[in-house]
Amino acid sequence: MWTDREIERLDRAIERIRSDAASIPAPPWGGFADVEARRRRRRRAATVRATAGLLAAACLAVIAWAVVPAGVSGDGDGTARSTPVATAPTPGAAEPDRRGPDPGGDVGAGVSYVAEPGAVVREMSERIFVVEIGTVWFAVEPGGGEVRVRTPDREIVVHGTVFAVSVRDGARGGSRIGVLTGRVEVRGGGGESVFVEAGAELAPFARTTAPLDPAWRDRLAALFPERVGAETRRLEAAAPGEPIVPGSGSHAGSPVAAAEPGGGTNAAAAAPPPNGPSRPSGTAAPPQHLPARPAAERYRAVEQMMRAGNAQAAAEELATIARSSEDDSEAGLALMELGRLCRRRLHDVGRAYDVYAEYLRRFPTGPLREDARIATCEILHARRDLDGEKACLRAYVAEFPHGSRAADSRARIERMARDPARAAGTPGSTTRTP
Amino acid sequence: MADEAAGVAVLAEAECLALARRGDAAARERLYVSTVRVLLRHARVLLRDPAEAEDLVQDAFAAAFGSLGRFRGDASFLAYLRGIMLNLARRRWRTATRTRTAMATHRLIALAAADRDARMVERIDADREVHALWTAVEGLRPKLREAFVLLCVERLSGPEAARLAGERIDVLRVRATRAKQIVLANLRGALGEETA
Repeated sequence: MWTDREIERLDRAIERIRSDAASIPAPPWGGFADVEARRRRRRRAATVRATAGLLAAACLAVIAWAVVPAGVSGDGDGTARSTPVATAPTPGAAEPDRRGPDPGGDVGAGVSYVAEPGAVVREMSERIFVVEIGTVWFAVEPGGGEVRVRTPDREIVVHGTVFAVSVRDGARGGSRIGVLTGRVEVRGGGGESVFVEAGAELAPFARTTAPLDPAWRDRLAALFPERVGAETRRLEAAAPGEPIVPGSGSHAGSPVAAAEPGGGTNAAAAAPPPNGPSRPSGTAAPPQHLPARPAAERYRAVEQMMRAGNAQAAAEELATIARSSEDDSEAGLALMELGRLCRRRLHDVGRAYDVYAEYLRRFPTGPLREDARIATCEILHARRDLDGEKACLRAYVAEFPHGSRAADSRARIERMARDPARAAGTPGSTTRTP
Repeated sequence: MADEAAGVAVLAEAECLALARRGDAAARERLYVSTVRVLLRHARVLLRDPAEAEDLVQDAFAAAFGSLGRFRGDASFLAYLRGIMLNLARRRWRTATRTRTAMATHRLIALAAADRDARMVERIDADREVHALWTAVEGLRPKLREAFVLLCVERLSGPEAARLAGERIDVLRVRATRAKQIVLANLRGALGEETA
């Protein structure tokens, strides 16, 4: 039922947990004694506070009972809070509730939002909002730090963007997140973070994004034309004509450009979203013309994409680095990473083989040639291409006579020559190539 | 010779325990120093969060020192502590199951240029594997989790694990096997089937 590799994988992970556990330095006795003393003090203080709180609550209850006339109630839900709850004036009313005095106004920290009728959004602080139910449209100024929007099942971390959140029926109904400009990080939903790019949306309980609903796109562009226009101008001011790889946030040519005030919302509807409605979710957008980013930043983006589970986009980004980098070591590294990604994550062995072959062709003295040779031989072995494997092993041994797998490779070549049928029948056996 | 050394160690521990029962701080310190490293390692495989694991160790020592009078000395002090810690961990697992949110721990490691090497995919895959394993282990029912951790992760001997868990060896082994099947299935679900 389980392959050897899967059991190996489990053992590997267990070993990692064990070694992580063993690597922690033991806390000294002084630390233990101090913590215990602090805990005792904390427990005493907590007991005193709880007693005082109970007494105060009892006093307040008595006063309220004596002073407040019957029939006067609080603000509806009865929960104490320091900040107001913004809801539509009356559920079902035509006009949504806009926070911020004017379309460009904000509730602090550069955040504006518009709650649809029936939506309930709590402002926990200037930077933390909780959407309990309904659809809320947000615009966050970039450069003002992190803003968090929580829903019953997710948390959205925002650094400057125009996006919308819709919650149906609490955690059970899930929340949908759509992004017009910039990028948001969505945490929760039972997995790792998902980055929702401009022009994309994340459906309730989904782990991968899909193109943004045109109706949402138009609504966001109509509600925050100033923010959308400012974003377009900022991007246009950045050196035009230089290439950029996907996954870099908002860009010209996205609904951002389409929703320029002059263009209006009709233009927004006519322009294709950056991810393109016809493109399947999880795939990368074609390279756009935007400022080039340094390789380190691109690698960071690749790592983020991979951690977010978007291996396809990471592969495209690596391919772009390999294609466009002027630094041979960068390009070589990107090719090798791409090969590994194709093999291990995308399970596209054919592409992996082509990538390694490209590395061997492009870098005749590259430092990673041995790895590339080993990988190509392994792929041929897995494909049961005996002739190809034999040629590959011979090439490996010729190029790396003292390589890490040279002895194994020679033994394998001999075995293949002696008993080809048996050699062909044992792919993935304990004998590793090379 | 080894028996003699062990006997001396046992005697030393017994003496320490006797002194510790009378409130001797130096004796308590000796007991703490001699066991804390092993206990912390044990806690780190019981709980995913390192801070929570340290907390667990702290709680176990506090509980052990608070109930030294009840410790009869049948087993070693370390075994006594491990038993306490396992009980505390069970309580935490139950609480965690009740209050667990869907929020996964998000750890974004910024890749500095200096850290770049030719093994990024392997490194990330290893992190994913550990993450997936922890998620799978946390999803197990407490009894299965306990058996899996004691036998598969801690790799304790059957009798030792059985004594610690207060179960029969065969029961524990069956649970560990079942837990392993579930964990493998969850790993396959999270990471996909391993292919060449």
